[in-house]
Amino acid sequence: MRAGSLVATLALAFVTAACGDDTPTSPSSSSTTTSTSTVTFAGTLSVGGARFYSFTNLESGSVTALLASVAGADTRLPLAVPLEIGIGIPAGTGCATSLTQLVSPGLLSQMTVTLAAGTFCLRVADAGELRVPVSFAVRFTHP
Amino acid sequence: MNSKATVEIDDSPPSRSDHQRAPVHRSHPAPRKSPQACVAASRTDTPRRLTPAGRFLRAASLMTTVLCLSLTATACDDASTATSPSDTSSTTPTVATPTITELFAGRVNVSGSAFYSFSVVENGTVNVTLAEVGGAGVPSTVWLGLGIGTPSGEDCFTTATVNTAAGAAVHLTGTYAPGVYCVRVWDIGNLAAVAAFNVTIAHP
Repeated sequence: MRAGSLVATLALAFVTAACGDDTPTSPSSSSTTTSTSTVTFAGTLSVGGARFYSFTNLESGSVTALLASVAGADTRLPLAVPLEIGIGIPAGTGCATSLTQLVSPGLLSQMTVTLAAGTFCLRVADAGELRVPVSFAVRFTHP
Repeated sequence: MNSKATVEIDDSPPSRSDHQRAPVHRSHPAPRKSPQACVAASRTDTPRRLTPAGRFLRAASLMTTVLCLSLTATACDDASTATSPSDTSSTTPTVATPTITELFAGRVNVSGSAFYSFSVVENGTVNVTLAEVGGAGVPSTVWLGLGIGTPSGEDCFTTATVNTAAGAAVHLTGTYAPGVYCVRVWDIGNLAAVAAFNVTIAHP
């Protein structure tokens, strides 16, 4: 009988003790995954003209860009003409670039820059090489 | 404050020698005790000479009673001792008044739109006013769409909009955190010709 009472008392003690422990279990892994978005910015660029595309970095990280193609707007024939690519911040009716580079069409990364989280823009402009309007495609990735 | 209690129980049976040397004989059957009667479990009804096994059970019963009382008193006391926040600083940001006024002078085509980007450097109030609309064949009282948002792609993604005619009073206002924003103007279906407009944007 005493043994039964002992067991019952211990059971009661454990039940009352268990209700006080409401501390959630911490996740065993705290690693984060950085995701990137890939954007293709395509359009028509007039002689002496410029276009820009705004994007938002959800977190700081690398932005890479390449001028994938340039072709005659009318002929659709590929052109090897270089264009100016720049990265900056939207301001007024344009994109105030802080980094620019003259690049020729290619499928390798041609510009890499590390940016903080926030809103930025990628600008494509005629650097004085165009003689006719062209169609362009710029591919870039950002966090 | 969370309380955790750890109880170690020695539930191994008494040694063989105890069984052999100390058989327990009770002159009266022990009364059955409920689990709630923790305190009563430790009481000895009749003083008598105890065998070693009896002394063991008596000591175990006393220990159990003490544990029961201590656990009951400490296990469920979280509600009365809430943890104070470690950060007691104010979370209400200061709202700055506009210190910079920018003029967005542009044109909007029939069914078209235009936008203007600006940077807010500190949390504060942004006021947008469609100050003037004109142009050949465009009445100055024509209504246009006016919005505030964030630059996205090749346009301005608006989050606050209003349809309005030009006037001196502020048409859109709001509190915005530091960042890049834009004001967008567009034809809501009233234009028959290209309209010229002036929009003032006051921001911190």
